[in-house]
Amino acid sequence: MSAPSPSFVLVRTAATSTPYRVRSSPSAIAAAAATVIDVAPSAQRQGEPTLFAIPASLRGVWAPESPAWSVQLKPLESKGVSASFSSDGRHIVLNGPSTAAVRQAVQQLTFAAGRLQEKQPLTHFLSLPLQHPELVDKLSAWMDGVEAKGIDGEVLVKPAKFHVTLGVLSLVTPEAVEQATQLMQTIGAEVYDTLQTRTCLVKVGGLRLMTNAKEEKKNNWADMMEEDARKEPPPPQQTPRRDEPTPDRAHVVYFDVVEADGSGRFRAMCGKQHPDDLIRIYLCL
Amino acid sequence: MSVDLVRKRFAEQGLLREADRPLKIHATVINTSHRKHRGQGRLPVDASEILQLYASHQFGTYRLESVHLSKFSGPTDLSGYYGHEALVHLP
Repeated sequence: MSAPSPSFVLVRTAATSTPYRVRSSPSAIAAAAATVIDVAPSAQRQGEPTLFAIPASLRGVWAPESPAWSVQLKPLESKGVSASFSSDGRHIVLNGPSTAAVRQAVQQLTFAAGRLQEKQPLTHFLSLPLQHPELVDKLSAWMDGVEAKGIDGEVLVKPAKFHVTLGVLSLVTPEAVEQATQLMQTIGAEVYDTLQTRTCLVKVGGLRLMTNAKEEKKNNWADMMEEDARKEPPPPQQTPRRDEPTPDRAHVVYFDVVEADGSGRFRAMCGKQHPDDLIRIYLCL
Repeated sequence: MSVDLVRKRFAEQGLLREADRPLKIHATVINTSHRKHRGQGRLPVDASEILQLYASHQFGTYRLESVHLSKFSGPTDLSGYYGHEALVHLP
């Protein structure tokens, strides 16, 4: 069974040097957090703290004395868990009276971090510019024709901004921007390898209507706490979105972009292609 | 060989939003969120004619030149494309 690429927060315990990746979907967090704390008892016996890695986008948001952090600190302290920041500001150092208390603290922080990240504005995105001069000219001409057929010009994308989006990011602190910028520099060689050092040619064409995806019902904190973290989390409930677009009531219309030689290199570089019924509207820019 | 390399690397560092949601590779040409005057909700467009007309329309084959870490806002680059923090040139 192949899982979709999850987003992670890193949780590390003092007992091991390897960070644990905790998936940030709330239902999956409980299970993963349990795995982390399962190794914690030895650390607890030695009086070693548990380290919670602060996601890059929350560094500076969760900081000593920050309002967002004091909201988190109070419930921790009420359970006898002490929490302080590592000197580099990248981890929260947790010490608790029991394994269960630390485990609960990690769950609280993991869940809160996920929620906080969801609220932050999207600032950046990973894009593949489709800006070959000939393509831009052809697209401009195509758009003139479409406008002549009654499509309102203000809903048309500017040809100079024609692109494929690979992902969206929320980089609200200078540290997060720096981390993402550095990552771009380090993945260059790997991208070359994945493309086998050959040009990546794509075919652009085939007009399609973007349809909505089904939304996962979000678990709340109370639901999560009730869940037995060791059990497989239940499948998320699916609720259809309102106002499903139809050709005559469209919101997003796009051209397909497919690899020209069918070698699979393009997909290996960008991401798994998913069936059309799973198309997600929020990736449309 | 790693599948979905770029997204994977960003997700690993907790930098990718919506990372566990599927990606559909596409190039948007119409988006009603670009409307300047937003009333109650987004006003849809009737695209039924053009969807039929251009279902097989091809623009041709083009080389991908780079991956950008693009900015949603702020000044565009000289060509009018989104400004960027960093970019990776492709072979």
